[in-house]
Amino acid sequence: MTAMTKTMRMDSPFTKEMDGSLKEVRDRLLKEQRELQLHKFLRNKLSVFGFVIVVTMLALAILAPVLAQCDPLALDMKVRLKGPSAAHWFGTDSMGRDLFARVLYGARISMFVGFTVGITSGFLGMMLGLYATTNKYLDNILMRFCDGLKAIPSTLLAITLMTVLGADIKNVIIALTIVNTPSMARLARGSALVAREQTYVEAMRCLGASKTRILWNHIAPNILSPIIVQMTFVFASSIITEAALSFLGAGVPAPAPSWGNILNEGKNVIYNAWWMIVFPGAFTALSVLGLNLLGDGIRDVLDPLSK
Amino acid sequence: MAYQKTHCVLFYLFFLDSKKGEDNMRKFIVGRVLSIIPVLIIVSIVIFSVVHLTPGDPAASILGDEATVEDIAALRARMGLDKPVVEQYFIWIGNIFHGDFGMSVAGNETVSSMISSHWEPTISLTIFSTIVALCLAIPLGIIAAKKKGTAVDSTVSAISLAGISLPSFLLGLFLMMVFAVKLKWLPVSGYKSMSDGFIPHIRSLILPGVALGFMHSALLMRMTKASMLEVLNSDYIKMAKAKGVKEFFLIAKHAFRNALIPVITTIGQSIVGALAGAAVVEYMFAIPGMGQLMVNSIGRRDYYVIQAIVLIIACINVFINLMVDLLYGIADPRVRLG
Amino acid sequence: MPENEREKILEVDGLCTKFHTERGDLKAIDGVSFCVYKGEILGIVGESGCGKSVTSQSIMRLYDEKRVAAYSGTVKLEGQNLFELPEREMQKVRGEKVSMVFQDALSSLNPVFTVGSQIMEALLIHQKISKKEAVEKSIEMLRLVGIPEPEKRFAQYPHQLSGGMRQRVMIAIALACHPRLLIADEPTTALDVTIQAQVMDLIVELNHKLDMGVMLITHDLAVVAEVCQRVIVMYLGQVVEEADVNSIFDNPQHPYTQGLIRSIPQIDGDKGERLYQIDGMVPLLNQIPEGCRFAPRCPYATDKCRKEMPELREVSATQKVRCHMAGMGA
Repeated sequence: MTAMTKTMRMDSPFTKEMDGSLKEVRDRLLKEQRELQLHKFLRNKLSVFGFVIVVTMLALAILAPVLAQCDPLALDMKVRLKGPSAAHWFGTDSMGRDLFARVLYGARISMFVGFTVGITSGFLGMMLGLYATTNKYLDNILMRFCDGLKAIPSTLLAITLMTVLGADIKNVIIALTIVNTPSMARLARGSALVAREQTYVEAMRCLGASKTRILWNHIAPNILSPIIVQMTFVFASSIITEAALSFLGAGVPAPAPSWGNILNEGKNVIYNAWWMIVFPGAFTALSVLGLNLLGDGIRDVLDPLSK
Repeated sequence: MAYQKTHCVLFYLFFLDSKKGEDNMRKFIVGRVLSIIPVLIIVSIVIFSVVHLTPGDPAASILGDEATVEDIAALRARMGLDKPVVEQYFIWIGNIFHGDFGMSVAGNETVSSMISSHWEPTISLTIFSTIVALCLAIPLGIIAAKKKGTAVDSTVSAISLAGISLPSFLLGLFLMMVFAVKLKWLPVSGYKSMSDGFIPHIRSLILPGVALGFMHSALLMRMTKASMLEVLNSDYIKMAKAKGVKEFFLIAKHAFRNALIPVITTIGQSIVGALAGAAVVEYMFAIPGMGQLMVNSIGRRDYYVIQAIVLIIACINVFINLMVDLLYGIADPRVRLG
Repeated sequence: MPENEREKILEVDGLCTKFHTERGDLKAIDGVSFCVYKGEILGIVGESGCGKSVTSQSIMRLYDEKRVAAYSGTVKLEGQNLFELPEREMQKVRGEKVSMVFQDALSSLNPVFTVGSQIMEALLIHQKISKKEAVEKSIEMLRLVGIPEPEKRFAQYPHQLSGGMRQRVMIAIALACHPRLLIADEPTTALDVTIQAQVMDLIVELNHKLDMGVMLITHDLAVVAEVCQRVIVMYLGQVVEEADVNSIFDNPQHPYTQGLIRSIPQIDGDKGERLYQIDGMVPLLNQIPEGCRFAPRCPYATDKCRKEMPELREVSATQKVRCHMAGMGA
């Protein structure tokens, strides 16, 4: 963590107060650093593979209405439980709905949930973690609370929350945010504490910068890297948890085409409809794999200690 | 004379010196055990808050849309929801110490009896999947570290990557499809306890156990490999080699003990993860354990059951973390002797 | 005793060690040749990165020969070429015939085993004695290296001992089986000055008591002057000068050695005088110059120096130099 914050040092100190020519030098150095990082990322084949998968999934999710020729909710009992064919590329489900369309729209749900949860929990966690470092009392209370939340395994906490809130996509996002914010907050707090000990922060304090200014202009940018990496992993785990919740009936309610819902249906017809398990399952696994690889790649790039 | 001298030496070594060591150990253990009390309190508060402080009226959602105002009020009184929140919390905690976790909303059974009839399959499943995970992960992790950069290493990395990306219920479905439906080697669902015979018991646990354990096995594999790599590069391994220690003992004796220390935490997390993931896996394989109980309670909005199960599992989590801490102290002398 | 009649414990001839890295194969040491006589303390000096540690670890074959390193040349310990031994035989040699003491005692001792058990292990591997005997012998070793209350220290863990004591424990482990040769790789670099003196005194005392050859690797010329009988100077993977200790300090032949000696601050020097430093920097292993490796930094370098690699040749009965311009600027 220390090494990661050390590279970003170039972003924050005195440089904002520099004059023109120095600013040019700084900008050039930053540009070089970014290029080096990009090259490092591109050299790692696995990360690039992960990136490609994630971008593809996002594209499929966004373009779902265009790509799917059928309405994912349209029933047609005449063609129920038919295998893949020219008309229905992924086959149909137990209500005759086109599986290809449902899987694509399921991508929408998964990507939307994962992305939103990642951003919200990242943002909330960062705020909580940063403010925790300003006040010892606040720190103690917040961290004890986070410890308590973390003692409850995430899936179970999500299930409990969904039971209380009711099954709905909005509630899924809320529940998963609550589940993921504590670890984000801990991460932000830890990185902020390390960043706070750096000499340049002390220098800023000597210059008379206010606490808020230091917090937002100098510490915050330096804890961004580990938070961004963690957001990728939260994205991945949210996809899994949402699918699990929907699988149990505690997530996005039917008839919405969440991958979890489709898998739940598939479980009931596992003897004769393998396509209902394989396609949504493969898509889920691929998305998670892509995000994990991407997260690993970003982490390796931002950590100056790896070659 | 030399004989007596040796005995004096040994006496000194094993009695006087270890007594001081024991005192340190005792202090360490007591300190750790006491530290979990505040955590347990907070956990119970958190669980209680989650259920009772979220918007929505539990009684109303249990009874549904057709309930009348009087029905809701009656249910609220019965559930004790009309009392102030803090009082409700202490009543709940107080009851727990008497073994009373409340009544199921369906009305016919106490939560404690429901739990006691459901815990055995879950425990068997958790133990089985953890053993599977450990047997798979640790040897593979060590081999991957020893043979870094070779095909073996790449294979193990690929397996662990697959494991992390396949959540237990997905893997469970795939396994079910291949081994139970297509190949018919193993039962699709159902649970046979030990009393029905050892082999049927194990057979009913294999698919769900592997599904549950594979993901944690993948995490453990990665951790073991990373830890082992770090240890293998350390100076004391070089020193041991310079002493003339044979290759096998370099790894089995010198490296293994050091590499395992950081892995212990991950093992603890695996056990808890298995308990948590059991919910979905039990539902899928129709295993009548606590996970299935919990899932069934979702639809019924059976708050007390869910509250109780989550509390129990969270407490088990805290205890397992405690065990991990204590194990750390036993395994790493730097921790217990400062 | 005449030079050629003295018994050689270690004879290194043309030792090269190649490492397989991502950037290709790098030769860390190239053609190192020297010997260690029975009972003497040989000093090996040079800057960081010149190959001193690589030499010592190659002698003991500590690198991973399957994937990382490749050796060539010969290393004869009491007449036997160590490179011809299969690994199983080499394991018997390590710790018993030749031992090594490392620089950082805290990281070189296994943190989860007691100090005593680590000494015992060295004994139990090589000697057929009972555990009880091993315990006794280990405590004796602890006493030999000057650790007070050895019975108590026996059951302690490395992190509970001070730096100086840990280094003594390392020496105890290395000497447990009374090896013929001890390789001490910068044994005092990580210690305080006063502890340094104590540990060096211990090494000298044991060298006399056990009649054991010592290969002392260091970058501290002061220690060399006090303790060694002969010295070799290494630069960029090669031996550039070999001489008895007096000649090295009074009459250095190689420009690099001269530079090293001149860099030692003099206690009676002028206060305002700038400290001497050798021009330039040590090049990277993949940028080794053609010809004499020191030529880019040498004040006396000629074209011949830059094109042709000089051989290590004798300039007197006790001195060898690798230099075309040997004797300049003495």
